[in-house]
Amino acid sequence: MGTARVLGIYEEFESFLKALKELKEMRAGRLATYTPVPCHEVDEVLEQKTSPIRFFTLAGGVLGFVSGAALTVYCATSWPLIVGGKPIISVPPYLVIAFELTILFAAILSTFGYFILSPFPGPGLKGTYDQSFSEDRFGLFVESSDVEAARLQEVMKKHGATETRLS
Amino acid sequence: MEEKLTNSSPDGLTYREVNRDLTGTLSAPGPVYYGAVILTFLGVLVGAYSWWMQIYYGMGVTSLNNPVGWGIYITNFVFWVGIAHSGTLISAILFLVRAKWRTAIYRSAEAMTVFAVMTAGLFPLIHIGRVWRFYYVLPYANQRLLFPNFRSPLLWDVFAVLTYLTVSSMFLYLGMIPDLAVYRDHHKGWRQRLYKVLSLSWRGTNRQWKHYTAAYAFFAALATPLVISVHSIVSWDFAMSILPGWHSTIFAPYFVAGAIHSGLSTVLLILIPLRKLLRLHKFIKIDHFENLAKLIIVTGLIVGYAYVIELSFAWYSANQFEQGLFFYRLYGDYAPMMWIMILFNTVAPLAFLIKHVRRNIFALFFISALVNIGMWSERFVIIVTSLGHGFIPYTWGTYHVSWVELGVTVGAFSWFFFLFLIFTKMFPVVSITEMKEALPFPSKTMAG
Repeated sequence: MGTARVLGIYEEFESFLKALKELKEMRAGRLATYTPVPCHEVDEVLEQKTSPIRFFTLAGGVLGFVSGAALTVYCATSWPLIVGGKPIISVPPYLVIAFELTILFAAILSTFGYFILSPFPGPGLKGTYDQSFSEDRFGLFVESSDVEAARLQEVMKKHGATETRLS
Repeated sequence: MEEKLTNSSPDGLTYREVNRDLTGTLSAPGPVYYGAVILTFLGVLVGAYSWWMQIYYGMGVTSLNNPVGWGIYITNFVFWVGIAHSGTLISAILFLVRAKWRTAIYRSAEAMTVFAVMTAGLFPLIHIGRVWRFYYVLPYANQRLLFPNFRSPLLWDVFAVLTYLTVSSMFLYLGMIPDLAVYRDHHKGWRQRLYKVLSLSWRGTNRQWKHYTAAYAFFAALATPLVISVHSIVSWDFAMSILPGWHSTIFAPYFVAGAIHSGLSTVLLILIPLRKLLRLHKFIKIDHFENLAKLIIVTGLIVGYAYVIELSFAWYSANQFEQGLFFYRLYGDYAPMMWIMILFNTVAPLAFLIKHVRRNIFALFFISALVNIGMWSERFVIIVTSLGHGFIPYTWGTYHVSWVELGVTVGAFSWFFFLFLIFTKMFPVVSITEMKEALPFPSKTMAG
């Protein structure tokens, strides 16, 4: 028993969503979609968890703040020279640097997290992409055992898939 | 009766038409575009030559000297950082408050932000004189463990502007990834290869969208406090000193409002010709311009309020230096610029209170130009009058711009427009994805 990859292409969002729901209820295998725009409806059906990018952002923010504070304090204490009668460790100005680095590191780590998490392209979806997905078509991808393939294609067609592909 | 795939948006646009029209912006440009590119490139050469003169002969070729050590270089720096701000306002703040009208204009505004910061960043480098000594401001470990003084607002600026440049560039790029995939799928040859690399194998899968939307929202949330901090820090370059006219607690909000004021006007100045050049009338509508004009009324009123408060502070302060400085600003050597700033920044935008005016392309363009001139004058007045008219009359002096500084200024303006022109023919100036999101999902309806 091998693995089959079935792709259904839809013109209409409603029929695409109906097919997706039915396949989900059938527990048809691993489901994925191609859409030209982000669709919250798809997230709901696939019960997607919130993206873990937020942990990268948080880690970046914390790291940035600590780095900013550490950098300023380290630099000031390496050559302790009193300037303008201000304390060696002047908290308000050092907070400015810490704040900027908080934002900078949070942004850099968010981008980094995005690159790590976002599959380029998704495992298993390789080769099934169609250029029309970046225009106005919706793609429904199922990875399942090959005995199921015919039934999956039938379900997709029932809901108005203009084309189904098997690989 | 024929079945037709459609989505009934008010303009009858479909996803396919959005793709077609917005990938069409890359079509071969006409003579106007080439003319503009050549003109701005020549301007960049003028700037480069002037800078070279300054590097070769030294700062003596500029008019910067005691008492006015900060002339139009720092005026330009503050002006361009300010221009950048409205781009972030439109792309990040309006995103967070779910102002849907931003969709059609935010990409251009965001690109404008990046190019404006790139232009602004040139000025501290130019102003240093010996540009190769720039690394002095970076906290690197040298032999004697001598580090920059982090109590100096000029150093905060280094961190703020570099952070702003990095974050806004990443924000611009991240937002473009799905659109670059559309370009990849619609073009052939070298363009396809270029966009293939730049779109990072974007396929629009559910997982990609999930991480993309999350990252985008975080960027918007990070860019919002950042943008406010950046111009506050720029204002502290002045406010942290003790000079009359600079040492003021209202400087941060005053500068942030002023930055957005000038930035919104620049967005209008750019979008009006851009819409015509790339035939974007279907996407960028007069309603967008009207909304921008309404925002300009608000920022103009805030700026006007700041002017009144500043003068009132001086009046009630019973501080002769403060009073003397503001009297000098209003009636002294640079009085015309002070009055230009008051009239152009606060009175001229009031014309937008009339609906007819804010829906008239020529009026929008003209008033935006006035606001830009006014905001440039504001920075000039703040910098030059305070430096040239300090505490002791013996040190008073005036400042007259040299041709080298003017050349560099022309170069900077040209550099900004040159970058923007190249951007319009390389990248999507209107977000394809967000335009589609604004339309209903495709569905079959009975038509014909």
